[in-house]
Parts: sequence; C-alpha cells; structure tokens
Amino acid sequence: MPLLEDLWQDQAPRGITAFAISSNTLGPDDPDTVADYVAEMGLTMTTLVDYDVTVYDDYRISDSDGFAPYPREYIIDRDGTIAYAAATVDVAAMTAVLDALLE
Amino acid sequence: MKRLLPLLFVLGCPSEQPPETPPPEDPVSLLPLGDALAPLGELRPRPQGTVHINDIAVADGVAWMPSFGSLYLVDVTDPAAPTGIADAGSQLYRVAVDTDRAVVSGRDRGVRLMGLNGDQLQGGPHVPSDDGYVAGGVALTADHLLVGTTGDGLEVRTRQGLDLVGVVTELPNVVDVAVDGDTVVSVDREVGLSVIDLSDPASPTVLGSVALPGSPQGVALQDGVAYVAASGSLAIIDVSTPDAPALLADVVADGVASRVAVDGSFVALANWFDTRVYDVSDPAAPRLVVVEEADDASMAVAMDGDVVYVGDWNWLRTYRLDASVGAPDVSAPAGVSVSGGVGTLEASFRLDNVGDRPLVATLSCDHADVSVTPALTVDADDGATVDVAVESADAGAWTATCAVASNDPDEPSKQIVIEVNPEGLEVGDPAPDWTLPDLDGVSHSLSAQRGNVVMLTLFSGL
Repeated sequence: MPLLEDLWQDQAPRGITAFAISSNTLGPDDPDTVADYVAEMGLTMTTLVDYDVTVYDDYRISDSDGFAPYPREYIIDRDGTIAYAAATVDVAAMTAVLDALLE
Repeated sequence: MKRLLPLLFVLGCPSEQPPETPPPEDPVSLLPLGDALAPLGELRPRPQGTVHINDIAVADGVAWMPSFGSLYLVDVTDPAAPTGIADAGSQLYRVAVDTDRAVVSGRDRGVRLMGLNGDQLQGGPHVPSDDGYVAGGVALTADHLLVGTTGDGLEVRTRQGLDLVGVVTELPNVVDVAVDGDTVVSVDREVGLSVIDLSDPASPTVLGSVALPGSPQGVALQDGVAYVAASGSLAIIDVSTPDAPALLADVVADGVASRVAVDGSFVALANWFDTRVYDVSDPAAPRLVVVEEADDASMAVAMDGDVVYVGDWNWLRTYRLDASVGAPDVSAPAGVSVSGGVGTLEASFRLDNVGDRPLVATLSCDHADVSVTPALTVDADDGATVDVAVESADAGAWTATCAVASNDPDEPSKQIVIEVNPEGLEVGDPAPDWTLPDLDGVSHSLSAQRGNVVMLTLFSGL
C-alpha cells in the first residue's frame, strides 16, 4: 500500500481521480476500523466502503484463482473501460498505462 | 351463434357450408399491432332474426348488402352512423355497384338491375333463374355487366337491358369476377383464376389461367394483382402478364376466407372466424396488420378508403383502418458482461421500444447455459428490463448470443452478445458502475467520473 500511495502522490497532479475501496466479505464494516487502517497505511485518496461486497464481486479479476487477492488495482479510462487490472501493485505497469491514457 | 352451423345455410347456398368444427388455434404468432381497426359504428338491419349478409359494395355513400334476409341499403355517408335506407327481396347473394346502377344476383333468384332514387329502391330488367340458371359474382365494366354462373360460363351482358352479348363457355363454375380498368379476372372452382380478354365482347376469351391453392369464393383486383378468398387462404396472383398469371403468395388464414376487398395498400379478408387486414404494399410479402375476432361470423367485407365494412349474420360493422400503421422499434445494448464466480450468475439489460407501436419481443439464446426473459411486451416509447441468468460451470470465459425478435416482421432480430467471464474483469471490459459512501457517508459513483481517468484500488481493511 505504501507503493500505491507513492504512485498516487506522483500521479495526482496529472488530473486523475483515485478511490480506495474497502471490501470485507466477513460482515458489516466498521468505518472507524477502516479509517484506522487507512491512517495506518497513510492513504490520502478518497476511501469508500463496500459494505455488501458488490464491488468486490463485480471487480473480480479473471486470471485470479478464486481467492480474494488484495490489493487489486484498476485503471479506468475516460470512457469507463477497464484499461488495467491486476492483483499486484506494479508501479511501472500502472505508470505506463496512465501515461498512455493521459497523453 | 358464433361457430354454430346456422339453420340459414339449409335455406341458403349449400356450396358455402362452413366447417362443422372450428379450426385449431392459430399456429402463427399473430401479433396485432395495436388498435389498427378502430370501431366506428354498427347497424343491425333486422333486429329480430338473422339476415346473413353475403356481400357488401359501397358507392356514393351507400352500402349495398345482399343477404339471405333481404337486399339492405345503408346510408354510410357517415360511416360512424350507418343508417338503414331501404330493403327489398330475399335470398340475395352478390352485388356490383357503380355510379348509376347496381346489379344484384341471387343464385336461384337470377340477376336484377337495381337503382336508388332518393330513398326508393327501384327494380329494373331481370334475368330469371329459369332452367337452373345459377348466378354468382357480378361485376360492372364501363360498357358491360359480367356475371359468373354455374354451368352457363362467364357471361357478358349489356348494362341497360342485361341482354346477353357473349359467353366464356370454358369456365364451368365461375363464383366471382372482378374488373380494374381494362383488366378482368374470374375465379372458377375448377379452373382457378383466369384473365379474360373482353376486347371483342361477343367473343370473350381466356388469356391465361392459374390453379388456386383452395376453393375460391371471392376475388378483388387492383393494379395488376388479384386477391382471392380461397377458403383456407388468401391467394395473391400477379395478373400483369395476362397469358401467364402467377401465384405470388398463398397466405394461410386459418379460417374460411369467403370475401376479399382491396383499397390502396390494404386487403381485407372476411374469414368466417375473423376479419383480417393485410398490408399488401409488397403483394409478394403480405403482412398481417390486424385481426378482428368475429363476434358472430365474418362473411362479407368492403373497403372504401380507410373505412372497412364487415358483415356477419346480423350486423354491419364499420371500422377506421389506421393506414399509418407504424411499427415498434427495438433498442438494446450490443453486449452484456456477466461475472461473479462459478455457479448461477445474474445480470440484466434494458430493452427499449423507440417505435410508435407496442413491441411484443421474443427472446432466445444460442447457449443452453444462458436464459433470458422469454417474451415481453413494451409499449411505445417505453422500456423493460430483461433478466439474464447464466450457469457457469467453471472459471473459463465464453460468450453466447441472444436474439430479440420483434412483432414487426420488417425489423431484423437484434443480437446481444452475452460475455460470460465468471472470474471477473479483463482489460477492455466496461468498468461496472458503483455508488459507495466514503468514510464521512458522502456518496461517490464511478459514473460521475466519466471523462476522467480513474485509479481504483480494492483493499481489505481487516
């Protein structure tokens, strides 16, 4: 997650929007717990709470093996199409995709 | 009375016996395109008892209706308020009308020239039915009267005195005849449809004939195309090449088609169990526009512009045909993505009808593991949700195609690709939308970010 925050800090001035979504398959989330985690990780992007894990389900990644890999990273282009999806924080790959989209 | 064998048939013409059992429910998907026939008015010429209207011809605001009960004349100047004028005779069968005269036939009543003077019905010269003379359908040309007979051929007579001028002898059982300009056609129970040459009225000849798919009972003619009420079907015949008339279409009508009328792009068919109107803009590909279920029995029909006249046992009914019959128009997404894991997955999409007639959509998919709402009706300018259910046996991605067929036969079916990707998203997929609260309870949604590049990270806080 620190890698992600670094990427966000680098990319934010380029005009992209970032959200961090907390999904929890174990039960109703507690905003305070999520807030504590966010603070601990030092995330500064807008944090959303996916209480009923619909986003978790909708955003499954096809080559995952059925586990719930975290974090999962996505980049969505200006038309609402998935331009990047991965279950790792690959800063180089994400930067390349962002560079292409922001040209 | 509907679908019962009427006693009047015993008195009437035995050759028009209806079937004793009703036909099976229509196997064709008849999808009436809305209220294409708007009821205007109705008239019961004889309040007590039945009349059995055999034919209807409309000219100069008057509907002439020979029936077994009588010859009824009805003022239809305002077709919404048909009003009786006069009646005379009985056991009458067919009629031909033009501007200054009417000719009525009665099988065993012969043929009589009639006229209407004010509200007085006047009888003129008469051809009696002596010696087994049986007169059927009649038609008027500019110069002559044509009479179809059983056993006496197709007769050419004078308009004034009904004197016999010539006969087409090779037609043994002419049940009806129709005229349009210089073209004359007859339908014969044995020969089928024939195109007749009247250039020498004293020696009329058959130019060409074509067999019919069913026993004919009535014929109408317009612009080189003949429409035949052929018992089980509406037969459409190109007669523009007189020596080689050709069957264009044989439209199974699932009834007993007995009379037919044409006006402009539409044909009305009296079909016993119902009255049907077809769009014949393309005579080779007629389109069923509307079905009027007969309250009683549809036995006679006429068209005058956009007004349709239907005669049954007891009633004359008038309708306004909506000639601007529109059509539904399907709008649906090109594709739907389905994901969410192995097992039963559900998705939905919106089906819109952007046309101006109700849509009756029939949906099917080409994959056994995909099912959709099988059929739904959507009003014009409205939409409905189609549910999609997918059984995904494993994590592999696959696609299926679902088709949406419209009740408008001119509209090709819409293909919707169902992309099944049980384990979720791939690059290039549309990002599923979401609306979620932030830690302060303020809602955010992905769709509000359209136009922006969005970086999304999913994590677990626990």
